[in-house]
Amino acid sequence: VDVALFVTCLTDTFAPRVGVAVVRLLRHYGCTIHFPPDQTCCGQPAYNNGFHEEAAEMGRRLIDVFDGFEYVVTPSGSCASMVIHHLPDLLAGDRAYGERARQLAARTWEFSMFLTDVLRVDVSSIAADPARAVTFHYSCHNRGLQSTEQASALVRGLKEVDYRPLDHLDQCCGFGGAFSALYPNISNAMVCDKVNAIARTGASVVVSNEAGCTMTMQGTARRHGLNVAFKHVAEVLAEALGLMGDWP
Amino acid sequence: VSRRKHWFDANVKKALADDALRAAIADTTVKKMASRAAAIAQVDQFQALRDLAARIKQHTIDHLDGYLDEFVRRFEAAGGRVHFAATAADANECIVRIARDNGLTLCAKAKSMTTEETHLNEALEAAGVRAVETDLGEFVVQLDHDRPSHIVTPIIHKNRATVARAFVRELGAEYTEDPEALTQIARRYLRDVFRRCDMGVTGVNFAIAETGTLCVCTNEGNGRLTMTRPRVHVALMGIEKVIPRMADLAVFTKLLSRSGTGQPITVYASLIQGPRRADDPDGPEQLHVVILDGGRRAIQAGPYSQVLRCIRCGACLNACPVYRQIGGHAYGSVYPGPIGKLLSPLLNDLEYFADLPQASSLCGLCLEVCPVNINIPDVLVHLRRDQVKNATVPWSRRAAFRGALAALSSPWLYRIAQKAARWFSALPAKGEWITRLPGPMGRLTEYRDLPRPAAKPFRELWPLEKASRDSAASQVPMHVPHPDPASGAAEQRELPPLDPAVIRRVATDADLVSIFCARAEAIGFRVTRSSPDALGSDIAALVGRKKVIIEPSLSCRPDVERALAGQAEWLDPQAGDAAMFATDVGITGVRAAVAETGTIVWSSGPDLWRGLSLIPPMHIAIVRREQIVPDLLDLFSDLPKTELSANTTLITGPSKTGDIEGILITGVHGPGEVHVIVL
Repeated sequence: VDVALFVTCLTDTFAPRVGVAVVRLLRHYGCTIHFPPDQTCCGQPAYNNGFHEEAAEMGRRLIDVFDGFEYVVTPSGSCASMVIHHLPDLLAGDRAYGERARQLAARTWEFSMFLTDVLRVDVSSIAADPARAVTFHYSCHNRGLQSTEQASALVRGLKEVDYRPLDHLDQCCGFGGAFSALYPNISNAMVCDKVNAIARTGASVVVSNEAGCTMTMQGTARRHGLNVAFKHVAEVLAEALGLMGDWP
Repeated sequence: VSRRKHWFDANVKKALADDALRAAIADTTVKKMASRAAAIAQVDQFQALRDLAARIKQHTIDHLDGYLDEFVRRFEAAGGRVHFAATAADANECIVRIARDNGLTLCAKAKSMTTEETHLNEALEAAGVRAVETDLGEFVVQLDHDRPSHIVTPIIHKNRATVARAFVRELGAEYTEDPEALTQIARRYLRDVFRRCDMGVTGVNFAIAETGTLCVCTNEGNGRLTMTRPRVHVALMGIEKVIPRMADLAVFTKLLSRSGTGQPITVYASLIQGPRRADDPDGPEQLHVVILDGGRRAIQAGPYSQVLRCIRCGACLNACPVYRQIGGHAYGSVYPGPIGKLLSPLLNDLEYFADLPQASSLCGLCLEVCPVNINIPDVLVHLRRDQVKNATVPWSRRAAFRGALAALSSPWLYRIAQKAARWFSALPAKGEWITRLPGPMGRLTEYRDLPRPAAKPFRELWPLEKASRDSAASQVPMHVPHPDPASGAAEQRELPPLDPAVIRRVATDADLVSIFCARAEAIGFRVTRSSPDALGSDIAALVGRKKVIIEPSLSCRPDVERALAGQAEWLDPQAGDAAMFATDVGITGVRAAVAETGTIVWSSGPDLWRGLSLIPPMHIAIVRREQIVPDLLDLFSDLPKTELSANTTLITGPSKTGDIEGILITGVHGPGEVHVIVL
């Protein structure tokens, strides 16, 4: 299976280990990975903030960069939903790119959906570390993609996992892109509720598949002295399979 | 120039500092979301049902004039009077004129967001008409000179202590924090208002074009009293409340209260077909409907007409993580929460409400819980686009986005930016984290630490990864499509058919009596399975030595009278209000019953008093098993086949409220004890 990795700008810049884990895991399951070097951003920040012409321009660029790959996989639900849901709408009237946007949308997958729905990976034989309790936060874009079940199943379904469900799982972590910079006080109230819920689980690892959520929750947990590790599900799985040996 | 609104920031700051407020809101919204989830789980085809509801509403909005015309024609044919109001001020003026023309002085008001929107109470008071809010929550709001902070649960921002203080201060009541006792204080005070009022104002949940019927859904019974007691009933509705068919109510009643409060249907759903008839013993002599535009026409004609699908269930408020933090008052508008973020700017102006579309993390939970699939996050994003187009976005934000776009459009500029961010972040950082940024960037670290960009971004690690060998294993991919996203605002040319496979919850060949009895018990009715021979003694056992009125036309009346001879005291309803308000027990028949929800259906007619199932604290309803229909779909499909009574009321449980801290109290304004005897 030929897969182009769309690593996304946040993961590229702030969480490169997630990109490495995705590559190794997909390879483990028989994929051939490509990384088009000209990739940058999908245009989501521009789109969400109403700069739609700019977002369309970014979208056209993205379509050119990922032209011709059988699958495009991204570790971010929000970037996936930008490509899958918004780009085709945004470029619907574009004669050169409208149809190509729809094609790219059909070929693009959020990582956990790709693993469960396309590759049909069964994680029940992969052993988690039973000594480290795990909780899971799904990103709001997992909900938009209808992939909350897939994403959490990859954690809940591990062998011997000590899984601690999070209270009020459906509540946003408070990131929301520019929202957290424009209304930092509302955002903070939201993320404090989330971090308190994490603390109540007693888990030492939080699985979060969206770099934005992770930065927000981890930055707040640090500020309040809560010592928990934050990991992408790709890191959890790659570690359990012994694929991250050279990278603690 | 920053277009941020000072008023919004001030409201937010105030709310965030009020821990009691946030605790009260979190407590109630979490409860409501849990009840909603349980109620939705009862509907097998929930997604298909809400999709159908969305399509019916969108179709109606896309063809509004035709349906409004049909509604008006039929409403007038039933003896009602129609008034159109272009603005809120016109609507108020019209209602004040109705009061003046008829010499009305005391107005009982049922809960209505549209009257909040027009500020009707102030207009009535200015014209010398005393307007009294009779919904428990709205009553407290009025006593406190406050505003509701939720469209379904108006005093979600108050607790029992604030209610207690208001009752002591304004009503001279004794201080109590017992929600039950507080409810009884309100009941006693408002009984007097209901006895004396000459005008009743309600909102409208649905206006049915096919029959010219108003449907008003309530829980406490104050709405029914408001439509029963006064001489004149005035209903205020937005133009978007019209639905095509009576049978559409099966779809909407199944969704409305499940979404809002987690009930299978509201306690009362009243179908109003004109004013009281010549031979009806009670009910209003005049029925008016005021149909308000108030900015809705502009929404209908614009790109966001899906917003008008809203049925005001309140689910999006209960779900919203932002509402949970800042409460309803912060939105500075009658309509708070996610739907308010759309309605307030669209009904008024985007300039004043500039913050509302912005103050959202676009989490989309509102869309997930919306019973009519309004794509709230999508409309929010498009309102932001309008703000960019109208230049109501500050130049600094524009410059930032244009600059970022330039950097992100070129791989080498992107890499330089990445590197520069890594270098410059070394200055304020401790290790890999930044705890404080200088200057205007400081807001980013006001509440949380920021990570530094990694020493090596992924793209620098890739060459090494690329060199390692691909695995020999091969997983065969499944070619699956993505799940369909929730439907947006697609135009609906045809009125969607009512597919029973989607709507029906009880099959026509089911054991209707057993299902009816079980569900009636579940919603708080007390059910007795009886027989014609045992009926008299069964009722006697329930009534004891109380004061009783029985519907004169009930065929079992002689048996009941015989069985109660010598113990109960019989009052004569012809004696008027004195008898009706003195009675302990009202015994009535029903027109039909619904197995699906355990609902009994009462309708008005000669010698059938509306007050009898409403005013006495105990109601006994006699249901014959052949009157039970399987599903709400059957009821609403059958009703228009015969002539409708002036008032048909679906009753599903005793009168109830959850206004004080979400605690369920029964027996507010209607009967707290309802016995259903199944023959």
